Amino acid sequence: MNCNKKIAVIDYGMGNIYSIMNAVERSGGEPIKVSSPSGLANVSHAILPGVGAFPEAISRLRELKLDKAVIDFAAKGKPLLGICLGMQLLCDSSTENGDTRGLGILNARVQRFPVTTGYSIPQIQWNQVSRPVESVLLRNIPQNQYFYFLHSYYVSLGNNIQSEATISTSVYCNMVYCSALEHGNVFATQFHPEKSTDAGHQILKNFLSLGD
Amino acid sequence: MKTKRIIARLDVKNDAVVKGIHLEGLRVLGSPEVFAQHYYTEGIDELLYMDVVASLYNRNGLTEFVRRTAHKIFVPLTVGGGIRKFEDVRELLNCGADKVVINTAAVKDPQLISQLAHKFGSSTIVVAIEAIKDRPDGYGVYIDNGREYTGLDVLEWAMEIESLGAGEIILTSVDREGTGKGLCYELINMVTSAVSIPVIVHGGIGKVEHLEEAMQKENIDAVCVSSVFHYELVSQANYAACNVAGNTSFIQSGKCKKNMSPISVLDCKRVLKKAGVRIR
Repeated sequence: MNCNKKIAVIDYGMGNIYSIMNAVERSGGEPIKVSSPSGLANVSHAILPGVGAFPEAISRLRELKLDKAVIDFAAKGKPLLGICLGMQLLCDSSTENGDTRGLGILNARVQRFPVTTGYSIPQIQWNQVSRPVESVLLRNIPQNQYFYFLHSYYVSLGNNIQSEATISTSVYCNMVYCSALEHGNVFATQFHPEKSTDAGHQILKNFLSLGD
Repeated sequence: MKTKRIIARLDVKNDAVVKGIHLEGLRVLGSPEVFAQHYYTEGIDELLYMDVVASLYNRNGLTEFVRRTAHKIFVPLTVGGGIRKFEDVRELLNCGADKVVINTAAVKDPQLISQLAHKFGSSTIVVAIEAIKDRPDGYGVYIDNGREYTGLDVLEWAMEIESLGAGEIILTSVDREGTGKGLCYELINMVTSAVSIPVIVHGGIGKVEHLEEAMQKENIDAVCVSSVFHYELVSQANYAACNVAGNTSFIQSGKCKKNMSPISVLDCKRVLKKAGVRIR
């Protein structure tokens, strides 16, 4: 049962908060906008969204002292879901607009799609996911399900966790990249579940079901 | 892998979806929410709301629509029309818009593109180009729904838009818009070969064959469509949304169907998939 589960949607000024809150409600959760560390205290789950550039996002999180708060939340073993830029922020670093440190929750780097003939960057399209293993986050999602992607950078997981944490891959610019991951209590999707109709709601329901 | 996108465009004036030919002579078709919900249910890839009077009267009244749409419709929503500054963008994004379209404001101050992209993310900022074939070797950039010439050349402007950090361009052939005579490939090929950000093409789709042809082309990723979907919905026997005052006689006369072969989003996608187009 997902009702009455308080889900923090972290608002640091960069993200489609309203869309995510709508989608969480639609999926049976009770979304709470959180923009300070204390807001993460009494919630069972947290979503870290993100739209925009990595350096600015990390800077905003730091200003609001949310960087430490998110790291602590994850360290406590509570379910944390990063979406799009939010997924990238969980990583060690990103090469977007320079070299910037991330939250370091995942052993991973964020890199730009390589310039590839015939491919526009950013990737703005529905794309399919291939699921190499079973996972909680993608339970009941069919193989090759379409989700909506909107990004120029992708996550490259460290060798030590790549095969274990990758729960879906997608193809763009002639390369395979991680489109969703699950590593202990840390989850993330490069695509936007809140913009991916019913399949997206299924993902959120699966996330909300954790801790039942 | 590249997946093609179909984007349904709703031109909104006050509380109604409108449609025009050459962006003049607006006709009222019905309630935006009915249209949006219908397209969403049928599998549209994205929705685009354009407030067609905002630029003229210096207003932007889309936020309520956006909020209501975002509450029930879970595909990307792009919004435009009269967006001039940061606060306009922030307000729309806060209401649930995923991307915003700017045109006039960018022409008047190109640096606005980079400022907005820096603040809100490149992928959030779409710049619209309204193109008219006004010279033998190219196209001119127009604003205010195709009324005012900007002095800019489409090709040069498209390249500048990309260099300033916009995430996407929506390219409208004003000459073809509302005519149902097919896309302007000369214009499209010129722009897509010059930029590497996604280009949404718009203006002239009159039947599914136009879409099939466009989507089988390597350089076309996304097509924005209004007339053929709108007229299909309106012509349905059980269409009850014509409770908006005005122009029911226009709709019933069938005059809006000149050169148009209306088709539903659902049927359209079936045809495209059968033709081998990779689409959701």
